[in-house]
Amino acid sequence: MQHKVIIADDHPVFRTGIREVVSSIAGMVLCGEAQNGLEAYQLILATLPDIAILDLEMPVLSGLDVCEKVLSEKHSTRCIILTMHKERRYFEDAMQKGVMGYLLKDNAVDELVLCLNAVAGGQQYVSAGIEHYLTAYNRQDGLPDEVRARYDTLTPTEKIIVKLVSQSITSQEIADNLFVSRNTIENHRANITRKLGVEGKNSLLKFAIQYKDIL
Amino acid sequence: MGQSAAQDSLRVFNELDSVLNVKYQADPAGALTVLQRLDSIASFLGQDSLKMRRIADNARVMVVLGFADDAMEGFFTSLKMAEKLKLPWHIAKLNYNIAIAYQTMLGDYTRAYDHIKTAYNVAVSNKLYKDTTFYNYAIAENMVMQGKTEEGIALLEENVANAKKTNRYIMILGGLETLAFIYYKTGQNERSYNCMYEVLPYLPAINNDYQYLVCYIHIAEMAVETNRWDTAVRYVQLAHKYAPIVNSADWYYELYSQEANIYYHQKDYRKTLRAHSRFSRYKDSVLKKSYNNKIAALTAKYGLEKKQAQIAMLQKDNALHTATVGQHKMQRNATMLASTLMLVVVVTTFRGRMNRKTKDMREAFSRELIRTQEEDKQRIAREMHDGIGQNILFIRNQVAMQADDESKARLIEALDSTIADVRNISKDLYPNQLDKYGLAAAVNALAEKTMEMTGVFVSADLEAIAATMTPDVKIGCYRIIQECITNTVKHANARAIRIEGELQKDRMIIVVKDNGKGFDVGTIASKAQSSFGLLSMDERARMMGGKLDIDSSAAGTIITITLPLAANAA
Repeated sequence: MQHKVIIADDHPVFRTGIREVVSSIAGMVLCGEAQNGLEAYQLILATLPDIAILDLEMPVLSGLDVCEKVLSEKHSTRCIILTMHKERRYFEDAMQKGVMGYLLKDNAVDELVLCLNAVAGGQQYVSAGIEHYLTAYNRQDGLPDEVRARYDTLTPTEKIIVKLVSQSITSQEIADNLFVSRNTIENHRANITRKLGVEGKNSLLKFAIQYKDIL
Repeated sequence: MGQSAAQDSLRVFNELDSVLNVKYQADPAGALTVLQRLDSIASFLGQDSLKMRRIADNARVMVVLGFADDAMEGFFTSLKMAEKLKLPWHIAKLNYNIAIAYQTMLGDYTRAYDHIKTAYNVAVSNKLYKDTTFYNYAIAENMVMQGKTEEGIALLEENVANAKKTNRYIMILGGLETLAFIYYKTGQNERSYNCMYEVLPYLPAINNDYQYLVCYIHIAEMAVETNRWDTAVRYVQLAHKYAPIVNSADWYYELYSQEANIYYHQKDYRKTLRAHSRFSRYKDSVLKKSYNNKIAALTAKYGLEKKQAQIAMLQKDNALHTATVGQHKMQRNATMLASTLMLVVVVTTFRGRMNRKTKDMREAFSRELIRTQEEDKQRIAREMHDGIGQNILFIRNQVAMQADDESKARLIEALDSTIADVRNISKDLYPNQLDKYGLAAAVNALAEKTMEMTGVFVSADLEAIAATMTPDVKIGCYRIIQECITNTVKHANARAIRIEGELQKDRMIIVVKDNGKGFDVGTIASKAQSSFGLLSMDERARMMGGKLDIDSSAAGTIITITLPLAANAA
């Protein structure tokens, strides 16, 4: 079975490189190229590809904008984002918008085969070097909805406190780090416990340790 | 409020106002504390004319401190008030102040000319003839600055001649000094010297210590320019006698540097050395003072805002009267000057008078520099990221597609490290998260990176203010926070840094705290190298219409950035 692929990147030279790789993969057929987000969106509507490889930063519409539109219109096209950005914030944003593949341009050529095959098979793919983002993101995403919802009601400071608690740091040390009194931290802890709806002795510590690697 | 209390207060207001006239030149930071008291009295009496005068005074201090924006804002605000209150003398004077500020601080002679003309016309139509001569002097100086040298000199000479006919000594003196300055500026040193010499006989009639000082130092200065060394020595020594009345490091600095220069030409190297060592000492303290003045001025200026409710202080404050009595001598001089000359030009040596403009322009320039640097940084970051970066990535990927041989791995390794460099440099130049995800995200990323690299615990909570920012304010705040973190990590030996944002009714506040060993604001400010960071933070805060406060002790440092919301929305 052939998978239809389109490419969108405003950088012609880079597009050439991607084109060469895609064309060389068995089972993939290139059915169009675009040089900005809007063209990419129109191309997707016109050709309904299985996979769209989208540069994150493009004129008119960004790769994420395209991905969001395509998903909201319930097209079956799966999106792979191609980017230079390694920062977690960018990755999480992409995941939330429903991206299936997050590919760093650093090793795009090496990984494109793996990525395309994974995404064609319905798997998520994230570039080597930042795979741990995906693990954390999925575990976080795998939190029971209720816990997730409760956790999201915490303020940034409260979240920092939970994180520090998960590293077994004492209230006094937390207080020093945040430039407040120990009492304030105790109050915060009480509030956090209430917001998270956990009960009992050391309940916050238990919670923090349970979800340690996703906080 | 009893009638006499009001009268008393008004009297104190007037007295303090005169004290100010001398004080703001020699000691601008001190002047601001006097202003604080005037402020209390003005609100106590609730008179608009007093408020207007206070704003004008404040603007005059800002002139001395070199804050052009604040000065202009103050002058225009008070001018509007004066116009509303129909006070011609003040309208004329404020127009004059604005003109001088345009001329000396901003180098805008055209606008300056318009305002002097306005001042002149207001003076004429309200029969304030006493003042018109003085405005004519300013017009003449402006003409010369704009290249109309001959016209300017003719106008001056005509007015000086008139003043001589009517024996108005102060006006004669002002005119001759301006003329001397213009001759000096146009390279006619001999004439300049003669002009200053002509002033001498009028001094006893004016009988003002300050004028003696100004005159003597100008004569010494022009004597040096015309190689009259003995005369120069005599007048520098005479000037020394009067220097204590202004008691300002700037004056001693000028005097000793002049003295060193003179003795050097006379080949009296022992005396040269002595004068030189003194002048060096004052040079340091002049620099230090100008930094300290700025910091003290900022503190005092913003301290004012906090103290609106201190009207009650007035009734109790005996110290106020004591201070006034102590200033009697200066006050006598000041009142006289203020009522006749309306002296707002910062009196200094001719050399200083020419330098001042460049100094103020330098400050305006440094602001402009920050702005353009920021634009350049963003542009370069974008080009590195999107241009160079993409190209290197392409090359890397092309290389990766080649058949394996021994050079391939090496090439890839080199390219990977280049890509990492490009990424880091581009991120340092401009944090791209800032545009996309806002200040909070960018600062959080910075915090994480700092923790990773240094082990100092850094946490930030800026959610409260992040939504309200324009791009300029975002990058401004980011840079200040970045500078704070860098300084703390480098110098403070701190274990933790905390950054918090708070939104108040009409402003937002960012606080950066550390628990390091702290530093002495004054000492740092006097070291050109280390103070640059502080000054540029301060400058950035001011560019955004806000302010920066530094509170440092052995227990740590707290830096507070306050920004008006109105300015941000604009």
